[in-house]
Amino acid sequence: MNYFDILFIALNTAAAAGLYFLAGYAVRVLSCKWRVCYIIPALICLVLMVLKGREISLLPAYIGALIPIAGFIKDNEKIRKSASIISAVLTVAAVPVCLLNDGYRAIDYVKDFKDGFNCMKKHYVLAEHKNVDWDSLYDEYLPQFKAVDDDVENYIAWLKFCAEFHDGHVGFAPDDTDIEDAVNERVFGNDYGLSLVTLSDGRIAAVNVDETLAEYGISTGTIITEWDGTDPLEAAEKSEAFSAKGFADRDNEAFYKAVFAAGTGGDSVTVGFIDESGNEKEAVLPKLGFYADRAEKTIEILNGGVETGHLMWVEINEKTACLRIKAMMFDSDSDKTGDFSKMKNGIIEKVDEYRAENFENIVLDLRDNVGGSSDVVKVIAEIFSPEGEHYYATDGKWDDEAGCYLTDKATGKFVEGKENFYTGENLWGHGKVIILVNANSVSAADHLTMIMRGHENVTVVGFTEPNGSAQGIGGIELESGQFIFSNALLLDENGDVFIDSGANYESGNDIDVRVLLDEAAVTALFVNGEDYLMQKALEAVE
Amino acid sequence: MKNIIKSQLYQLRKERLVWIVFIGFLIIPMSNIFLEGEMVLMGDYPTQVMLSEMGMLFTIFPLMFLFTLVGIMCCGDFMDKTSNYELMTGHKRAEVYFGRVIPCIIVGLICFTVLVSVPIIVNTAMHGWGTKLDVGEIVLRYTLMIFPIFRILCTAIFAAFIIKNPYILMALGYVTFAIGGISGSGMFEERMSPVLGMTNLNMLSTFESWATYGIEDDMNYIYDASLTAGQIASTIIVSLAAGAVFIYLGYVFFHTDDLN
Repeated sequence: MNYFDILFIALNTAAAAGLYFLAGYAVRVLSCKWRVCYIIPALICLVLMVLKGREISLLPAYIGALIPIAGFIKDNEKIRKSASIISAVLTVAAVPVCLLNDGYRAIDYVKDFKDGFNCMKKHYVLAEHKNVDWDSLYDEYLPQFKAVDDDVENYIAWLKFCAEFHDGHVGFAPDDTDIEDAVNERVFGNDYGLSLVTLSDGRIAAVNVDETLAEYGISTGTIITEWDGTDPLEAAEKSEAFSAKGFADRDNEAFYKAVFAAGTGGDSVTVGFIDESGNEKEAVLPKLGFYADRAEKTIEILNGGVETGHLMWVEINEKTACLRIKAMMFDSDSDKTGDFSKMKNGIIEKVDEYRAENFENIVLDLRDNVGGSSDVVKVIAEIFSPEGEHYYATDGKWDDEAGCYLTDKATGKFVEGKENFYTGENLWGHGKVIILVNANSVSAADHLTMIMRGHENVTVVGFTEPNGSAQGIGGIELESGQFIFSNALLLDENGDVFIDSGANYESGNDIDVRVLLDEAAVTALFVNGEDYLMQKALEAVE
Repeated sequence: MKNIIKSQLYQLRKERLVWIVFIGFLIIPMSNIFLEGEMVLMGDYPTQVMLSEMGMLFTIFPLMFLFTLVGIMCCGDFMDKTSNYELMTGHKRAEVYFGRVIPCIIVGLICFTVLVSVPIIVNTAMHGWGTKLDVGEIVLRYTLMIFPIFRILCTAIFAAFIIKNPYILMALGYVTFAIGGISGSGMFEERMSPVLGMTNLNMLSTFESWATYGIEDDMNYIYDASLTAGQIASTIIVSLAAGAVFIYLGYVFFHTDDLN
C-alpha cells in the first residue's frame, strides 16, 4: 500500500480512538471547544487526499473521516462514541479493499493513451504529409492499451504506437526509467549466441557471435541463409523490437532489420548457414538467455562514434582532426540567452590551431547525435561554410485565427513563412570537412547535415543516412510518462516539408558517400574493433 | 437582522485596515501590468498572455483580502464583545450569525470580482486582449470563480466563528495564499479539481495552451479555455454544497457557543 494511504488510515484510526475517549471526558469537563476536535479526521482526510489524490478503494476511509462530524453537530456522548467506532471500523475496512483491488492506485493507461492520442491528433504537424489514418490507428491501439497490465506493457504499446509514424520525433519517455531493461528483454526476445547484419550485397552475416557457436562452425562473418525455417529478414518482421522501432527512412530500416531477426524463436532455433567450405549446413541453437544485451552491443558497434567527450577534439592522424558532437547543445547559460559565442570561439580557436599546423581535414562526428538547438547548428555551419549567406530552412506560415499552419487550398501544400539564413565565415576553406552520420543523428543533427551537404568542401559519410526527422517538437505530460511528437513546421526552399519522410517513407536527407557494410567492414568492426566508417571517410576524401 | 447587517456595512466602510488591504491587493497586479507589460515586454503583454501566465496569481492575491474581510466582519465583534451585547439586547443567535455571514459573503464576492476584473480591464485597455483567447470562455471561467470563492468564504467564516480572533484568521489567509501558490505545482496530486476551493480556482484559472516555434524561436501560441459540462457542473454543485455545509456547521457551533 501507498505510504500516504497507510499514514491516512493510521492517523484516522488513532483520531477515532482519541475521539471515543474524548466523548467521555467531554461530559466530565464541559466546554463547547471539544466539538472542534470532531472535525479533525475530515481535515486530515482532505489534506492527504489533495496531496496524494483520490482513490476509490479508500472510499470507506473517506466516509469514516466524515462521520465524526456528527460529534461536532450533536453534543452527545452516545452519538460521539458511536461515530468514533463507526469511523474506526470504516477506516480499517479500507485496508482489505485496497489490498484486494487490482486497480488500487493504478495508472489509467487507457486514459493516458486517449489523452496522448487526442493531443497528437490535434497538433501533429505531419499528419497529412504522412497520410496518417487516425481512426484506424485508434481502433488498432485502443484494445492494446486496454490489455495493458503494467508499466512495461504500457511502454511497449507506446513504442509500437510511436513506430507507426516513422518519425524520430515521435516518442514516449516513461516516468519510471528503471523499466527500460525489462522492456528490452521482452521485445528483443531470446539470445541464441549471435547477432545478424545485412551485408550491402543483401546477404545476411553473423556478427557478435558467442564463442560457444564455434562448435557448430558459426563465427563472425558466417553467412546465414535461414532463420527458424524462414528468410532472416522475414523473421525480423516477427520481432516485437522491430515493430517497436520506428525508422524514419526505409533505407535505414533495411540496414538494421537483420539485427532484430536474431531474437526471434522459441527454446531453440534452426539456423541455416554456409560453412567455411562453402556448403550449406543447419544447426539447432539453444536459447542462451535474453537477446537485448547482444542486440544493443551489435547496434552500438555499428553506430559507434569516436570515443571522447562532447565537443572534444581528437587527432585522427597528422592531417585530420575530429570534433565529436554528441548533441547540438552547449551549456545552460547559452541555451537560456541564445548566445553561443563562447562555444563558437572555442571551436574557432582549435580550427585556427589546426590550420596553423597544416591539418587538411576536419571530421564532424555526428554519429548518435541526439539533436538540440538550431542556434548550435548555425554556429557550426557558420564556421565551416563558404563565406556569404546560406539558406537554412523556412518556417511554416502560422494562422493565428485558426491556430494551425496555413495550407494553400489549391495545391494542398503548406504556405511558406519566414525564411531563415546563416552567414558562412569559411574558416576552414583550405581544407575538407567530413561529416559522419548514422541513423541516430537526429533532429538538429539532421539539420546540420542537410544545410552543409551542398558545400564544395563538405562530404557526408555514413553506412546509413541521418535519421530523417527535423521538425520542431512539442509534447504532453501524461500520468505514465511524457509523449512527444513533431509540432513545429519547417519547410525547404521548394515549400515541401523539410527532411521528414512522407507516405513514401523516404526522408529528404541524404549522404555523399555510403560506406558498404561488406565482409571487410564486418571484420574491421566486429573482429578488430576499428572505426571502419572513419577509415573509409578519410579514404573517400583522399 | 436588518439592523445588524446595516451596522456591519457601516462599520466596514469605516474600517481603515480593510481599505488598505483592498487597495494594496489592487496595486500588486497593477504593478505587474506596469513592470512586466511596460518595462519588460515593452507593451507586448496582451491579456491572453497575462492570464495564461499569471491567472492563478491574480486569483489567489484577493484571497488574502477575503480573509481580512472575514476576520474584521465576523471576529472583530467577538473581541469587543459586540456580539454578546447584541444577544443581551434580544437578538436571536441566528440573527447575530447570519447578520454577519450574509453581508460578509456579498461584500466578499463583490470585492473579489473587483480585485480580479480591474487588472484584466486595465491591461486590456493598455495592451489589448490578443487574438487567440476566446473572451466568452474567459468570462465564463472567471464568472464561475464566484462559486469556489463562495466556498472559501464560507470556510473562512466557519473558521472565524471558532477562532474568534481576526488576526489569526488573517494569518490563515496568508497560509491559504501559500497553499494556493503551491496548489498548481507537482506537490498536489489533486491540483485541478473541485476537491478544495483552491484547486477548483486553479482549475478555472489555468487553461490549456500549446506552443509551436520557428528556427529563430518565433513563438506561436494556441489557447483553449473551454470548459466541459462536467467541470462547470462540479464547480457549481460542489462549491454550493460545501459552502452550505460550512455555513451550517458554523451556525451549529455558534448556536451553542459559550461566548465567554
